[in-house]
Amino acid sequence: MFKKFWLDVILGTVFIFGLMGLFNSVTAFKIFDVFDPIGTAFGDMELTDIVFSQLRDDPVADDRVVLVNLSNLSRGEIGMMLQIIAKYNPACIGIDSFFYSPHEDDPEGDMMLMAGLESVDNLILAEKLLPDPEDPSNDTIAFSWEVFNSFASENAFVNLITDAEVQEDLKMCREFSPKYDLKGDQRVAFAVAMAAQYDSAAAAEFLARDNEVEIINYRGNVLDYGATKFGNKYYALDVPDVFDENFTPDIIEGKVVMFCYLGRWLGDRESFEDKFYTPLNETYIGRAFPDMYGGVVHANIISMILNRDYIDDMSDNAGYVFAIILCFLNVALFSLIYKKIPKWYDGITKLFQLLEIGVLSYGVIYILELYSFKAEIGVAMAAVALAGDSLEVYYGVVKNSFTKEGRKSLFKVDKL
Amino acid sequence: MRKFISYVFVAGMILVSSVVTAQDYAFRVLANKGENQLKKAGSAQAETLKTGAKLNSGDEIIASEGAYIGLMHKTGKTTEIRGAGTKKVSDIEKNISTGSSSIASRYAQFVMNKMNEEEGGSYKSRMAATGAVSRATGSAAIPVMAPAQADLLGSTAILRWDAPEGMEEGDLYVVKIENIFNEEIFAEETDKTSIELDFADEALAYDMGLYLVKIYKKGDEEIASSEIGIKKVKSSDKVEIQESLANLKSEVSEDSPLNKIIYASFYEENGLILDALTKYEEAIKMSPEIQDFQELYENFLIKNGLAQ
Repeated sequence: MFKKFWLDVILGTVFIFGLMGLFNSVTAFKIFDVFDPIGTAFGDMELTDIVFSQLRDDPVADDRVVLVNLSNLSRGEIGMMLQIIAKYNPACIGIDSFFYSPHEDDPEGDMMLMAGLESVDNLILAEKLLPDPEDPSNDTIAFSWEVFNSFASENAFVNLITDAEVQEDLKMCREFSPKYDLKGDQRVAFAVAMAAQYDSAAAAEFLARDNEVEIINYRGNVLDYGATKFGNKYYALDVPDVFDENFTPDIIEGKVVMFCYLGRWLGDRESFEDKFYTPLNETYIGRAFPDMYGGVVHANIISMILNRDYIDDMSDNAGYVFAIILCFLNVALFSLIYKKIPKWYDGITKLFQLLEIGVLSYGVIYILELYSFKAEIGVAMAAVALAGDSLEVYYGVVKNSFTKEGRKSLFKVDKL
Repeated sequence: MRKFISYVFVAGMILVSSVVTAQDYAFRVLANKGENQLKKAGSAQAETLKTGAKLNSGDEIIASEGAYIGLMHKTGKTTEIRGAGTKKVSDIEKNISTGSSSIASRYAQFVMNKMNEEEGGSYKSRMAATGAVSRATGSAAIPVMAPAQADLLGSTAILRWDAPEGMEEGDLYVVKIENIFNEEIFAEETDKTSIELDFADEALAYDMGLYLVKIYKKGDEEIASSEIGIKKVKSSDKVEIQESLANLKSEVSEDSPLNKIIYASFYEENGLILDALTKYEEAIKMSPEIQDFQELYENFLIKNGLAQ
């Protein structure tokens, strides 16, 4: 009897995962998507987004990173700004922009940019990885024009991990790759290279984690008019601030300075160039407007590295193991109820499932906030949600189909 | 004795370190959008607000129209100022919460906020956005150097516009002023590209003090400016600015062009663009030969989006 009970529990668990697999393979063809606007709206949302956007304690500002707006300036003007900022001795200057080829109509502008690049002691210029997902031997890399690039102390890739196919697509950014093996050549991410200039030990410690992908522990934004809850966490200089030198020198000296696009002017809400959705977005479901410029995303990564404030996450396999264990325990409990108090089965199991989903959701939020650990509970939640009804199907249909008595009772109609 | 000396040494070190780490400011400016100013405690003169500037409790921030200022408290917590007005640093400091709350209480607060969230509300409270764009200058046939909506504290306003293409010698402009019910209360013809409007004049007397000004080519109303709304500031409105203006008037007369520029700066600081523009016009009219005034005026127009 005891052996039979546990065999049912194991087979019931297998049945639930079988159903989940079947459902997953059917929905993989997206045949139900047209009937599922709510699911589509939730598609780009993760439970942990609520932590980032709503529940986090207000983080402190990071005064080690200064962002300088490139706006829509010409190369010559950018060169002038570089010269102005460079004289205040920053730890490094990174330029989150490409200058792919010489400007034949404006050679003076190119000359001025070169003069600006030359004035920087520690210059990090952007590179763009062009990976071939099918054949890594075809991976390539793009740099700014070689003459400009010759002034760089270091190149680092500015790619972020999103679902966008081209730069202009709407994109959500939660993760980035800290390093990339390009045919044996180890390339590092732009933010990692910049953080290393400020605190090489912190950057080395971060790289030593040896993760292919890291979750960005977002801290905040720059003058975003409420697009996020933490709209004001970095020093930011607009174009007139630089040309008028309307800043105190100590905010630059020894700091990480990044030239990046922050809109046509600081606080520009209408420009969407190089703008991302992030988990900080105040509207965390069915987002309408991207909230953060790419340069600020890099700044958040730098802060995470310098603060050694990483987010660990559960691997997919660990998520499956957790889901199997949880499902197994649920099936054991529900089987006991099914056999001992069948009249109470539906009510008790539904209540228990609701309670369990609530505890799991709160647990994920709590663990992320408290231990910076992102638990993978998607499969476990699905298993819990399906457990009660699926088990009834297992006992009522599957099990009966395999017994003579069960099959007989299906065709035997008792008198009313 | 050796023990006593070591205690004194340790106590001294703690004291020194606490002095060294103590921040000598209340806030630092993280980001600064707009022509904002800082009035230091004990100083009569306001200075330009710089990014990175350290602010102390007695200081005041004079935020310009459309200002957006990010501030970092000495604890690292941040806050921001949006829009025009004078803010005391001590008041801003009071609103900084330096403690941190538990995740459970934040979660409870989040749930409470969601429960109390109003579902839409009256349609009248959701009509802030329009399905239109604003083109106060530039796209109209007659571009007027004035904001689409302006408050006016003084009694006179000078409006200047660019001549549209196709205007010939002898052609006239009509300056028409209506009340908010689109009833004409004033009209004047001119061959010049500017006009001085005296709102103290009986012809323009109107209790509500809301005027709609339009300029068009006589005989062809298609060639016209966009409508400019002028709201005459009442004695009960903008009291603080009116008091400051009274103080300024008691110290600075308006009889020299330089003083007019001082008044223009005052109005601009306080977001009264039409008053500022009028004072610049008056200063230039008094001393058209002074190039600096012209440049100041041009900068003012560009800064406020009235010219390119």
